[in-house]
Amino acid sequence: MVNKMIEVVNLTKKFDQKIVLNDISFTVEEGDIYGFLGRNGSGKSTTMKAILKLLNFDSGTINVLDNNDIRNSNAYLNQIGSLIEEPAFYPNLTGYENLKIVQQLSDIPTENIDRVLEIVGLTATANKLTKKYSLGMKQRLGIAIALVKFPKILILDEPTNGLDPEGVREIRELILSLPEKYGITVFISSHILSEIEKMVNKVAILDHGKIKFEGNMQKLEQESTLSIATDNMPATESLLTAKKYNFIKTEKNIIVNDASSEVAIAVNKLLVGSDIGVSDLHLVKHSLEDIFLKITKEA
Amino acid sequence: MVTFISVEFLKNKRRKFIFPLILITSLTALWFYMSMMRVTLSTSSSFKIDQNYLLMNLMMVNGVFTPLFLSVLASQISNIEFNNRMWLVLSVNNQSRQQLLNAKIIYGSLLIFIYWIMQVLVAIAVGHLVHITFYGHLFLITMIALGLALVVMFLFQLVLSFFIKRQAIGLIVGIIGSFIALMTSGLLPDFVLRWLPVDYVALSSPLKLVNGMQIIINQNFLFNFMFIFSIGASLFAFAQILARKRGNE
Ligand SMILES: Nc1ncnc2c1ncn2[C@@H]1O[C@H](COP(=O)(O)OP(=O)(O)O)[C@@H](O)[C@H]1O
Ligand SMILES: [Mg+2]
Repeated sequence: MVNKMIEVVNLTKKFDQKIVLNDISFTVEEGDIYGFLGRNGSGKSTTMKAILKLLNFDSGTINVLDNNDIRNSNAYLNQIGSLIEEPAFYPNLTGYENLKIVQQLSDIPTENIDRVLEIVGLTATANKLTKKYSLGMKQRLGIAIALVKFPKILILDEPTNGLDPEGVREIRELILSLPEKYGITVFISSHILSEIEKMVNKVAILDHGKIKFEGNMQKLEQESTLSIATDNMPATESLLTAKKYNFIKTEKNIIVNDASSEVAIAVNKLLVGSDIGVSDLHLVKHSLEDIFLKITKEA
Repeated sequence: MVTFISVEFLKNKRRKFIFPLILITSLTALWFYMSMMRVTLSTSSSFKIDQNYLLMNLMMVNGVFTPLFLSVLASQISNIEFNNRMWLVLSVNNQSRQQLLNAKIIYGSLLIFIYWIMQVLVAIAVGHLVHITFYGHLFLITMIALGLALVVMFLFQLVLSFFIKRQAIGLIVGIIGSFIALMTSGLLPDFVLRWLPVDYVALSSPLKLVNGMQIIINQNFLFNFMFIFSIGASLFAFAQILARKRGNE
């Protein structure tokens, strides 16, 4: 059975008169590593803050852990660990002491601190003041603070921001291990597709406060188009229109959107069966980066 | 609440603001001691060196130093939360903005209590040195008035420091309070002092100086006491509402 860990329904948020989130909906299911993609200012942090009750929203519903409306109680926060925007802690305290603060407030076992330090690889530097931490160590401590409750849901807002490729890889491996080892569902945002594409199984792409795409990575990877050239273009067009294919016409070709190999075979059969000579028919695969840019460019 | 207080203690570990606070406390004691000794040793003194004189002097010296002390305290325990907007982290870990505010009120009040105890001890010690005998309830009443003024002034400073990001504002208000007290020696009329929460130590004093040499019991003492108390209660209520309304934005 698949549980809905986070369900956002028609969420709208305005700052003054500016609409920052426009009627967005998506669902994060148990065991997902769910990527939340969008350029800077698209509304990722705002969405995450709304889920954590760090700000009020204008309309819509947020349910967590199977239909618990977050407006009803704050208890669900005990099941969510989060890192929002920059990792935040007290610079005059060590990594261990910062975790101690969260541990005391959340009333969880002290052993969790050592456990989580081990997981993020900060055991050796746990007693160093955090103001002396490097950027990578700060990100890890931010994740440790989010993780120390061993929550059911982990919300990470751009945890790889500013890290070098090696740092990104380490964080990725850490996050990838979470669902299996600890049964944690992860909701992670980024403005750089390549930083999260290798770890997420689902994505939502947010642009100017609207969800432009939601689905699993395979679906996004399948975003291909079919390019066709025939000896009778007008007849091809009317056939495709009749069969309700979504396509555009260029000078020499017809480009069918949202194509897959099944679509290619079907279209080929259709054309040949109607006695149209097909001179060219091929699938054009777009890279994920292309798709991401295409989706977020249309504004 | 016990957890919240212990977290406040942990947060302030290794922080240096305790040193200026100790310095101000020592200066208060030293200044008070010196001014008592000076008057006692001078032969031409027009004052009778008695309990009234000592208590009035104590309140005067406190009036000068406490605005500074309290503004430093309020600002220092608040500013750590503004870096990186720590209350976001606290809020998702079971501590609302309002609970954070109240933890700081209690934590600050504990430090103020230590300061207050120091004042009581210093007053008794200096009284002993200059051979003053305490009688009646005036000593106790003065100390309670001082305690009330300290807590209300602290609340006032905490509202400034906890809700306004620019910490300079609270500190400047504290410095101005100290400066006014220094310039006027707490001799402003009550109706002016009521408008100056940073100088409530002067307003709370049961003793006042008239004609430059006569110390009398302030007829308005009880009214002033209730007035300061009401301002304190209002500040507290105002801070609670503001903390709840601000939420985490
Ligand atoms: N407190 C705020 N007041 C006004 N506008 C805000 C506030 N927070 C965010 N915004 C605006 O909302 C939009 C989305 O911001 P944000 O959610 O931080 O985007 P992202 O995390 O995707 O970069 C931006 O245009 C930003 O300027
Ligand atoms: Mg953001």
